[in-house]
Amino acid sequence: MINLASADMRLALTIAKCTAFLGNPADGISSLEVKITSSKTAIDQLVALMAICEILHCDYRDVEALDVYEKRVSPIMGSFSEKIEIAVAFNRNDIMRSLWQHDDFYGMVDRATITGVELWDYSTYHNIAEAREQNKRYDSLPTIWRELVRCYYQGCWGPSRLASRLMAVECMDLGWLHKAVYHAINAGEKETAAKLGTMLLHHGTFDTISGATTKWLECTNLKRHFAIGCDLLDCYVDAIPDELFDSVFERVRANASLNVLDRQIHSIVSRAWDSMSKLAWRLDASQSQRLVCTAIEHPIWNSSIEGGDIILPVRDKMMESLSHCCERLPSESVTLLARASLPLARERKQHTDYAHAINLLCKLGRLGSDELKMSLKESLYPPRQALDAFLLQAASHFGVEFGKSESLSLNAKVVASRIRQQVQRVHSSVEVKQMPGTFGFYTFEMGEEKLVVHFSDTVDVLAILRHRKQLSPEAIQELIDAVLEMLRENENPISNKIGLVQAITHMGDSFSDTQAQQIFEVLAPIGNGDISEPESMMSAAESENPLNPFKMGIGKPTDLRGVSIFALACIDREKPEIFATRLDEIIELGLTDADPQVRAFSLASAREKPTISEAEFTAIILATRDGDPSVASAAFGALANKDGLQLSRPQTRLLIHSAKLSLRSNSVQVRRAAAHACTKLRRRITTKTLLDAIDGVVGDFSKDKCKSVRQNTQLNTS
Amino acid sequence: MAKYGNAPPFKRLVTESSRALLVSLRNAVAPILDNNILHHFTDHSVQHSDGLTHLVDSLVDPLQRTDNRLSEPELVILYSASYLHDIGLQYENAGDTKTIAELNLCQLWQELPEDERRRILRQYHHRISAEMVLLSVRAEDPIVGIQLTSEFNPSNIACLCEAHNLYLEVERDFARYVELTADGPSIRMKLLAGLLRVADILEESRRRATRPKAKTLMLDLTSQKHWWRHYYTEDVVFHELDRTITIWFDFPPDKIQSYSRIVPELQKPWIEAEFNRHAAVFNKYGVNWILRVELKAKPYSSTETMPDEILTAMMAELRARHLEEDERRRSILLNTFRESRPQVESRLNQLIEQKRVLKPNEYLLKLVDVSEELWTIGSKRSAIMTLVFEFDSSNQHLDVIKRIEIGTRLMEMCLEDDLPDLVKGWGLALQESVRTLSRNHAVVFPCLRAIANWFIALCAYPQAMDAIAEAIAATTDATELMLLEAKRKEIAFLQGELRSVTSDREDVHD
Repeated sequence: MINLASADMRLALTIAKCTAFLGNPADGISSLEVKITSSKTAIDQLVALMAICEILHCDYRDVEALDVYEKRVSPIMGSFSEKIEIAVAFNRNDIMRSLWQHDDFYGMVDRATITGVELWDYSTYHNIAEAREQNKRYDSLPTIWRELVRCYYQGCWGPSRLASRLMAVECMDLGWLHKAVYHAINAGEKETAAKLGTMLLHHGTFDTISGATTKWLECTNLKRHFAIGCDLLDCYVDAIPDELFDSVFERVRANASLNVLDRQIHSIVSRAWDSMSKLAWRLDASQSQRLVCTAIEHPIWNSSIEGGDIILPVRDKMMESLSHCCERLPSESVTLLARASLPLARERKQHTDYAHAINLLCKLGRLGSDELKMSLKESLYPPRQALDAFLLQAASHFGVEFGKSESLSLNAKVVASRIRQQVQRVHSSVEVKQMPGTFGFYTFEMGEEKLVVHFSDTVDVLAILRHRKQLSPEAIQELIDAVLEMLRENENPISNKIGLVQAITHMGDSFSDTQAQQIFEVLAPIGNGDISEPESMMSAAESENPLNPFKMGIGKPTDLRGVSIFALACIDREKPEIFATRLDEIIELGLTDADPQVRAFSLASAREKPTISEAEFTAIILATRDGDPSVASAAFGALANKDGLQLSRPQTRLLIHSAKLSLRSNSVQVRRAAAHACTKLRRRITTKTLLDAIDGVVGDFSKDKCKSVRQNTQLNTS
Repeated sequence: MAKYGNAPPFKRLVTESSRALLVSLRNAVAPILDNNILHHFTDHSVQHSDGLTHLVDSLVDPLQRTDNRLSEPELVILYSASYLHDIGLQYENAGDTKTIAELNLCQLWQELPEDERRRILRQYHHRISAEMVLLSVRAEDPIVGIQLTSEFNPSNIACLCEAHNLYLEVERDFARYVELTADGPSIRMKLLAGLLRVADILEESRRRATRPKAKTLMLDLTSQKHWWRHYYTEDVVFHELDRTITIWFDFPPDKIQSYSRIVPELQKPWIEAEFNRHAAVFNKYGVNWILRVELKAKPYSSTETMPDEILTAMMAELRARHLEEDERRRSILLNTFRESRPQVESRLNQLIEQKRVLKPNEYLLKLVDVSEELWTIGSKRSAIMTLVFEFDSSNQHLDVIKRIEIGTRLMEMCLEDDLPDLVKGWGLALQESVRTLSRNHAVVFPCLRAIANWFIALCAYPQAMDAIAEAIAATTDATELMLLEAKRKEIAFLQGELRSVTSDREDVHD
């Protein structure tokens, strides 16, 4: 289509599109309008109108794009070749889909088939795939490029997006990450963008990341491009260069502050806040203050929840973002934010973000003055008000204290009863309703009996356990019995069991020796991997089967095993010698397990244990070189956070050697954990040569491309 | 005979005795044709046969003005066949016929379901008609209602009856048709058969498709489709002066746009095909007519709209017909290619044999000619492969202008056939060669433009930009300049160099 236009129009078209992509859509469109008025041929008019539609479509102004299409494009159709007509119809379909409006897509496909029009060149895709398989990049790159050029001239957006995706992937494979950014954004596909972002984080150099970020800033001006840009950005937030960070932040903030006018703009605001929640930990004081203003002045923040039938889905991301950066706020901003946030936990509270509101207020209460904390306490905990699970959990943050309370113990009995309701067997005629505090339930008919399984959260369990010191021994026993009963229940989903184990992990200080033994009897077999999955549900292996199209993840047995080992270690910390060597055996077995999650949890368990054997230490040091990043980082974490760990010279040398190796790791997680471990353990090193060596490693980490790694080298001085 | 109207004039007959013979035949068969035992969707009564005789009169008009005119016996045969060709459709006792007996049906004729009997009658009525004619020759109780004497030439009539419904595209039917229409000493059977078949098709006009009757019948989809086509065919008009036959269509005013794209397209080729089947014999005797289609737009037309499912069925038929035409076109194209290729190949082989005796530049120039010929017949890949390797190894033997001319053409061929890699061996050398010439030389700009396109195809961005700049410097043609500038921007845009596209924006506008 475009290759049939006059040279003059082609020139104007390219410039207009670039102008729009660079952030001036109005200029781009008006320059095309000028060209349309002077154009002499229908094809010139068509390509210019299509370019206007494309700019509008890329800027989430699809209603306007459709208007242009209906009023100006449709009247001139009918005189072009079938290929052009079909290409234009496909473009219209893109607009219609963006507006969630019905379009006769399949009719279009049939039309193309009947007329033999092939907008997608499948033989080229095959050639590309073949060249890539044979690693003939000298063939695949030019072929993809020619396809990109062909699609541009063809003027149909769908094939162009696919060609851009192919080019983005090719550039990634060739290591041209900064070049891939433009194509990934044009491709408009989340997976490709996220893959590129991850590659930038793992494999990007300072130069490529800087180039990629500059390109990102250049071509995420239009809203559709920005939305995909966010998918890319989210994956390498940690590596955004400091000097470009403010520009990136401002681009995201500008979109986050948009007033919600329609569904499309709402999606952009939502997307921007989603990314902001990932960026927020990097904000400095000034940026944090700007973010506070953006959030608390936003119409969504201030909308009322009339009748409770409105859900404002963006607020949770707003509060999450603010939670991540509030520590850098000056005190007056903390107070301002706290006052603005309080109504979100009271008058304008909604269940989808209530937890975020309480969490933010907890942080602000901690950061603010005593006066602020008192004020928040008075507002959130007025006398004689029944407390929900969240307020009960947060009470200590605001200095709310409870005496030995019978009502708390009664509450514990209610919570125990709810735990037992996770799995019920009732008569098949009984009508089942969803319980409060659950995500959902399912039923399974077994003759005259009906198995009812609820997927539960543990908010109320955690809330009551926060006040375990105020609970009666009977109430605690009741809770333990309920938890153990549900852990033994074969039909209870793994995800429920993981929640229950995590809930009792930090209760060791309140257990009697007998209770600790009771728990060990249940958790030890699980820690050894003796886990049977519910028969009424899909197993973890089935849900991970790539050939299974209906995946239903209800938790992995290895996760349950890991948390169980960790829970036992935490109880052992509070109740030393109760489990004796029986726990050591479980941990040692876990340290060499095939599953990385089990190994990582076992390392965390070793950290929690009061004492650590030479064998365990060796295992931990070796694990710092584990191929799985989560295991290696857990190993560094175990060394860094092990209270009272005193390393011998050889052990210190081993640690430094591992840390040096981790400098070359692509995993940020590993480098961050290694930087943290070196910085913390440095304080315990007295030998000068070792000190120099570890300083050298820490110095290298302080120049890492990732902010979080650099931050972890500053613990010493902070 | 008022019930069946008056007999037609049989305009072309000369003698009254012949006319009397045909009137008596008409009177005899009219009640049989009126049986209407199969509830045909179109009229097969004696009016249809009368209509045929009128059309025969018009069709033979050019012929009758010449010495090749139809003789009296030929006219009697043709007119008689007009009344007898469909008589088999009305023969309820067809189970007794040899035609049905030869089908070896599993059930007795009388026991067959009515639908099945209808289907068989429709399929074999031409053979039954012929059999009925022969059974009536000098018969005491003639099955067609009249004893057919030798004046009728009944054997020829029987042949025409059978031939009128044979499918000439089917090999067996065609062979039978040839057999049936073999010319006799004074009877031109091929001509008579052609005239009867063409007249029969032309007679399928609206006059035979009456709406009130159609409403009383339960027709299957195919029959309905057929019926509506005839319903909209209002008339067939002969213009002797310009030798045209105009088929007039009449559509409901609000459907004229859509129907006029469908119905005539179904009807006209169908009639044209019949004319074409007899083109040889018609041309021989000067029965030449041109077929035209006319739409009649009547503001107060009462013509009814056909049901949607019929419209869809017609479109499906049209689609099937177009697919067939496509297939035929492709096959013609392929045949042309197949026919021309051996000739080019033979030239190529001769050339290869001469290679030892020819100078390298002479050999290369002759190879260029063969390559161009291959390209012309659509043998693109062969054209390139024939030349490219020889050009790569021997182009230095050509003078620089010729080298650039041939190299440019070959490069364009490679780019058109998506084979830019084949240029790699000699493209850069060509670029060096062209740089030695003055920019104003006629061969320079096309070569530089091709080189720029080559670099673009190779994804060699910096080289492409340089080559475009070089090509721009070698032309003063404003359109070419603008085109190259557009291309430069397009490539930069596709590379993601957005700022470079807009940076010299003002310069471009200047």
